[in-house]
Amino acid sequence: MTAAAWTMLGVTWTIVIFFTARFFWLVLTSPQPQDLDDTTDGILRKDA
Amino acid sequence: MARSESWGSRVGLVLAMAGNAVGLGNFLRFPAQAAQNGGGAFLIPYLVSFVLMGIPLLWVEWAIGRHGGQFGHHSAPGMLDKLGKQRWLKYVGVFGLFTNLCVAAFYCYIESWTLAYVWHSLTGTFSEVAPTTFFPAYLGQHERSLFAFPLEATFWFVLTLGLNTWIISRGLARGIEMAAKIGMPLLLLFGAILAVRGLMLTPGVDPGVTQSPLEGLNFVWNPNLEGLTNLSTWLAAAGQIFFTLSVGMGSIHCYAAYVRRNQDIALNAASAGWMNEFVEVVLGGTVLIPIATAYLGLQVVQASTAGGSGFGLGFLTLPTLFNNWGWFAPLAGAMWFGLLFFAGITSSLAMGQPIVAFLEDEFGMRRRRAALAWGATIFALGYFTVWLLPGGAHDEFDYWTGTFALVVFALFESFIFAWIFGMDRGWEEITRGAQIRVPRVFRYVIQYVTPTFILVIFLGSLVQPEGGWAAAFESLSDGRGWPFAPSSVIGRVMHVGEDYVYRDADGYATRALVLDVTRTLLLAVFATCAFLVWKAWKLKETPAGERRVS
Repeated sequence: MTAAAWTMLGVTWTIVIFFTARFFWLVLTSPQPQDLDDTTDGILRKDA
Repeated sequence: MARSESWGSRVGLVLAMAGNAVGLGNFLRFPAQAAQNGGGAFLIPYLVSFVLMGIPLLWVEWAIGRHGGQFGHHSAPGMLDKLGKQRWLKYVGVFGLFTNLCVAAFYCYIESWTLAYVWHSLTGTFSEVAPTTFFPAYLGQHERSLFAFPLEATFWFVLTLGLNTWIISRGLARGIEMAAKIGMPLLLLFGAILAVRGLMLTPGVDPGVTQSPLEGLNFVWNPNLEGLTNLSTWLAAAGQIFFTLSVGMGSIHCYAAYVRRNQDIALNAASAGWMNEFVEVVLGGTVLIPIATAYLGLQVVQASTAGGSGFGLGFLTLPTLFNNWGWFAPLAGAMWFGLLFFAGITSSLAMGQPIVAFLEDEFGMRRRRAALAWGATIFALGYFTVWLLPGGAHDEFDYWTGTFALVVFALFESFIFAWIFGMDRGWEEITRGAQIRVPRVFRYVIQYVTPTFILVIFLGSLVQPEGGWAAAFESLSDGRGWPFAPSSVIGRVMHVGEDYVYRDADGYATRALVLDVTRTLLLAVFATCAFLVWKAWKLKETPAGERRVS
């Protein structure tokens, strides 16, 4: 492999792996807020 | 009223969304596109397109979906209808039904090939029969015939479709989410094993290996910077981003419609989008071409991927090459086609859910019955492409529904979201409950840059010239007219480069006839979807003409 190919591969993989890991980690560790009215059927507004 | 369905877990939702995006193209199309369009330099327009078009479109589609879900709509017509007062908006949503129906029809057939290949890899078929002999026989192809009646392929098609229908009928959490939770980790595992094994191949040590697999990796990644000034490279990169993320289909909207009003979509969308990029760039670029190069040499691989697709390498070449891997050969074949199967089924499930949701929401159909209706329709449409595959019906479905319709729908929805729904409300919708800070610049990107980007792709595909853009403008200025490529939208409609007759000299039907029959069928499917939308809204109206409260 040429040095340019290694550079492109290294830079791109670093960007992709960094953001994939960062966002998936946040998904795993951030709690989801519950709906204010969670006793409904989940449909908060009706057709008007 | 029964409680509406929802996702069982957040991880399940993100995996299902990522599974929707990850498809066969991540492993078969991306490496070939990159290699043929500037190598490593392709990744520059590719990542620029991802940031300026891919991520914004993901946020737009998640926002439209979650907004529509609040009104009890889980398919595109109802969601689009809720973005403004105009009555025609729901008919734009017809694309979200049409595309999912027609793409699933031919996609489930390809998916069934991967399942059949898993079976034949495990039973050792490819150690006795070359895939180049096996595949045409499997598809029931005969020389000069435009028709095919494949018995075995029909069996696997029915089995695959039955599996899809069964999973969809089980519901969101117990069916689709469960399939994603099983399929996605296995896909990643199989991809990682094959990538590592492939890169460890050594000439002179492993039997049959003639070249270092790093030569193949170099073919994919070595940057040809001249490509950056070529419009075709940018169009190819933007197109690849478009199709790999499954935007413009209506399936992302549908999954997002089951997210509750105050729950995050910004982080979920970013996570699912980047996960797709990981599978495509890191795994997809590391399996097919390096392994094929190690055994066949770079020249053969270059020739095999010249059309921008690695399909031939994946189905016709790789099964033979795995025979060199001794006891591991059947497992390697099963892993390769297994990962393609998981990539395929997580996408086809996402195409089924919007149709089932439409029948449930707008016609009050029960899920099991709606799933069966979907399965039967996909079989009927899909078998048309099975039967007329040699005549070009399969490719025609692929182009008009899997390529053209996506761009048209995305163009409409990005415009409607930014300019009819309005960016004030749109931005509030995207950022409500967000668990990441969405940079404010994306408000303007969504409003101006993304629609322009899609418009350029649309116009580019409409008038794509034969022989390059510079030569085409020269031809136009010389008064010789614009040389439409046969693969451009206008070129296809006008049958450029082919004899436009329905019967050949011997009186047999021609490919042109098959293409026009296929196009007529696709128009009929679109019209039927539009009629169903009209009928659904008609049923909701009271005698006084007011919309019924549902």
